[in-house]
Amino acid sequence: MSALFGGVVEALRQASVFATRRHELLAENVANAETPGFRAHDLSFAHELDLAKLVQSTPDPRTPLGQSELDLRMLNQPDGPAKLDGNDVDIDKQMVRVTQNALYHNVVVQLLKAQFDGLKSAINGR
Amino acid sequence: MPHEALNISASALAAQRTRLNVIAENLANANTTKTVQGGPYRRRVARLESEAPPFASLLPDQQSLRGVKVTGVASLPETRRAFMPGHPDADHDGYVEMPNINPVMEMTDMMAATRAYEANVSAIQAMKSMAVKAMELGR
Amino acid sequence: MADPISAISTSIRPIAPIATGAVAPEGPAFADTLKNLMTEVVGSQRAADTAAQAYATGRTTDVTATMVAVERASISFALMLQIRNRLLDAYQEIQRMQV
Repeated sequence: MSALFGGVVEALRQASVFATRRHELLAENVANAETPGFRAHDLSFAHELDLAKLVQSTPDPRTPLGQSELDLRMLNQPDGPAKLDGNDVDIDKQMVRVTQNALYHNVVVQLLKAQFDGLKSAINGR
Repeated sequence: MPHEALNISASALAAQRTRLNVIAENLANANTTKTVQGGPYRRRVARLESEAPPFASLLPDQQSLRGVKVTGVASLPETRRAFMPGHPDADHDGYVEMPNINPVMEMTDMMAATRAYEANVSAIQAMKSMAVKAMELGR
Repeated sequence: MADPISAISTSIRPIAPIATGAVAPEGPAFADTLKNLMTEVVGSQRAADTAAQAYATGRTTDVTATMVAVERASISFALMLQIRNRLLDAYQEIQRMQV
């Protein structure tokens, strides 16, 4: 745990990494919504959005501050049974997730900004 | 790397636009009985495939994401015979060899391609909003 | 941080009785008001941290409540900072006074 940035900042940082990575996966799903044989992906537990479950139990010593890192591997997350051409993407469901995820990301960044602004104002004394 | 997401969404925009062009060509030629090659117009279908982004090999540990591409446009050989005795290209029995194009099916495909195009535009806008928001942290 | 504030407030309070016949000061003492404000600031900071963590981990999806908690902490912190600056200025001005 950093001396200057407490647990909240770390949780928010991981949340922002999660949201950015998830957008990439969702963008891939949307781009391939009509591609025959394509299977939809998402991050594990993303549909519950429970970050706490995503954090690996043992801290990863490779990370700079020894913090536990998110499990960001993508999993198969079909929207429903595969269509005739093998594609299992529902473009409308994916777009809902894209919108939700973008909102989540922006709120997390706003919360991070509030944390940093608070620290900066304490440092500057005004 | 939201940059990668942008490339993926952009690839889909190009692919769907190509697909729309093919569909438009089908609709325009739904009744073309004589082409340069001789014979009626053949229905064309764009083939979509996922493709890996160009620099995927440089990122071995990260599962690379795939955009989409039109890998080819196939010309389907089937035609249909319509009974049109007054038509200039009618044969002795009054049948004309017409393109095997069903406008309803083409319109359905066109709507799907349009919707896919718009969805990818929305995905890009979402990504832009996230990037702009992240840049506010530096202000 | 409480010590400089109580040091300042104990030097401020004796000024009031110098005006003879004046009514005794009503309401809570300044030091108590400050202590309450400090408690509230710390409390709202904790609440904001809890709210932010809850949102980040997906325990809540209520954006409004989260942002309100964070803003309250931010505003009460800014208020306390202003008060601290004014007190510091007042203290320095008193120091400069010829006795």
